[in-house]
Amino acid sequence: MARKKRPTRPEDVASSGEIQGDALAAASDFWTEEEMKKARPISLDRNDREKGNKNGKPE
Amino acid sequence: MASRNDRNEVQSHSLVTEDARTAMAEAADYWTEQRMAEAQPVPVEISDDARRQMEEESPEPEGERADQPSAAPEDGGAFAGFGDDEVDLASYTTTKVPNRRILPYCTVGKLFMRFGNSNYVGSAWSIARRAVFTAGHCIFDRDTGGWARTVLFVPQYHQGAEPVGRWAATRMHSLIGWTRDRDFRYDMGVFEVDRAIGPTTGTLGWMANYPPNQGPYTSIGYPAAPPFNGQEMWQSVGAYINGSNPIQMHNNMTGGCSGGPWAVVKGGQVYANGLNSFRYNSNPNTMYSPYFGQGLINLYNLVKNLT
Repeated sequence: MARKKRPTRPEDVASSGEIQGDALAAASDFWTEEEMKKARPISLDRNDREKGNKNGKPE
Repeated sequence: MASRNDRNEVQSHSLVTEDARTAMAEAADYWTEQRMAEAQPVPVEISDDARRQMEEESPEPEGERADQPSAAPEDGGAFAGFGDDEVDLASYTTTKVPNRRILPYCTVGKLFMRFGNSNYVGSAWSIARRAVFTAGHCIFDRDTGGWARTVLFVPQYHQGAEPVGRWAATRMHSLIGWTRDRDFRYDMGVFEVDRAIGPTTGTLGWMANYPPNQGPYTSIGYPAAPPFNGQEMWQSVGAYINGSNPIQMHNNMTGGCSGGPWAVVKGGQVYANGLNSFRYNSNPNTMYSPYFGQGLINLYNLVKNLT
């Protein structure tokens, strides 16, 4: 008899695929000094409209 | 029974309506130096309602407590004097990191990644022999197609210098609560790197399923939005404010510090017990972190044995 599958929980892990080839060479080729200078900070700010939404999902 | 609004109303009395001078003179006569010295603190009692409310906001963690100690780099980098500074409980103290070679700073670095055709920077730290930990939003963004591309980690980055080298991500992991639900309580992720990093940088240990209030925290990272410029490692030392998940601390660092750890000292050891996740734009001096619970343990278990 097939075992019942446990429902997915939010604390379960999701994974990307494995990056093929020489990841360091590829990243180093891309991240020249010029490309690094172009990089912006990843957003830290959230809109106040999301406040009070306990789990932080956008409205 | 008083309603919540009643409790918030300001109570005011007029002590000296008829003859202010007389009242002040009486007070001055009464409060001799001796009486002042003998005065007792007014007892502070918390009502049952207030206590119940605090307990609801800070429930006991569900899982068993777990922790992992930090490890110094093979060539030194001992933990010395970290966390000894006095903390202003009502604010934060933000300074440049004075010595990037000691724990926990030696594990922290600047993170470069791409979403779509845009380049971004964040922060991260080495957590295991071949793995680096960060915020989920630094490696997964549902709106731009999912996993970040061309992820590069530069520990101890300093004004363009890469004193111990650079590492590339080869596989990334986050939590379903982040990748599927975009729920900031699960805003954490870990990525495998192309070769061993722990022996070079050391690894920052962690605590999970501890009560939420483990502060004061030292938040570390590479803030890049003004007034910072992303070229140096900064720390913001601040007290725990509130919350069970997410948790909050006083911290004024800006964008670019995302994914940097919140370090705490317990029993003479340093641990990560939070990370820079988000802030509300109306209240930029309060930083939020996902609570470190079973999600963190699940991520760590995936990478702890990588060689």
